[in-house]
Amino acid sequence: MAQKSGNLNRALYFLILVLFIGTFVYDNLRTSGKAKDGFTISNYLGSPEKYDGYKMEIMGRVVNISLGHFVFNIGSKDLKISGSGIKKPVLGETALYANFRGDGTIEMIDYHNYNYNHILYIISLIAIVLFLALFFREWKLASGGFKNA
Amino acid sequence: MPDLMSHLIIGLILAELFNVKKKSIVILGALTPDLLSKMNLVYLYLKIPALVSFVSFHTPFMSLLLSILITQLFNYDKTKIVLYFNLGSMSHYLSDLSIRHFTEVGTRLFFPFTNKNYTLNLVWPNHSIYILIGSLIVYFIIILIKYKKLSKSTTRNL
Repeated sequence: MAQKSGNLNRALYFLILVLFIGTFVYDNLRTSGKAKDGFTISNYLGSPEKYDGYKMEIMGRVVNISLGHFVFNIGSKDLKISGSGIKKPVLGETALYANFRGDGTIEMIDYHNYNYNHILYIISLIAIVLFLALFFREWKLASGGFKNA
Repeated sequence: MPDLMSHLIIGLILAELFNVKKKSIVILGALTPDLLSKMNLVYLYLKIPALVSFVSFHTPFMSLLLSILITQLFNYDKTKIVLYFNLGSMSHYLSDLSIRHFTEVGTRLFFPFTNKNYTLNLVWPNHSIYILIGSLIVYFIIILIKYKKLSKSTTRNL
């Protein structure tokens, strides 16, 4: 009887694991499917006329500001954005709300600088250390898993 | 919210309010949604294309599944582990609802049934420092009240 319930538990656990991995894969396939057909920066740069007037919020870093335009880095790509009045953030990134025009120009509609976000990242690292301290105060690792400390 | 400290403190507040013995499980639930889903920052700073998306980990559904999976790691009441973990993760998602965006960016509360994002558009992520200060004050008030209650009952027993 105990063995039967143990087997059932193992089967249920395996099902949950499959569901967990399956959902992760499903979301990635959905996103890559969207990346093929829908709006992405790469798709837009390839054929901007298809996405005329598309408005989106993108996160990145203001690299260089010139008169009437600026360069916006989104990781692997640098984008030239038309618009004036933008300022570089202080220790942080920028959320840019942009209009992707059919002629290939990207216009800034609005922006928000995440000033001092890097300080919040450091505070977050301290939070992880605090969590680990609390965790190992409550639990100790033994052969059967974590047990009461 | 970009800072994990706010999530940690809010988790601790809930753990104190519900008298949870294993507070670290509530905190684990409160921190986990951001740990993997923030890989986009690694992509941004290392300038590498985002090959795999971890954003699905930032959903209540995945947190629920994860809470069941981690029960195997603990020699403890499995129902309590699931409850404590989800108490923490729900506090994470509810506090993330306050984050402000320009467009329909937010929290996918009902993923995988719908991909709709929900947000109350209240504070920009970098202003979450005010939430951190507020939650710290609330946490210390709770600790103070509990300490006073405990010392009163100890005096009565004497």
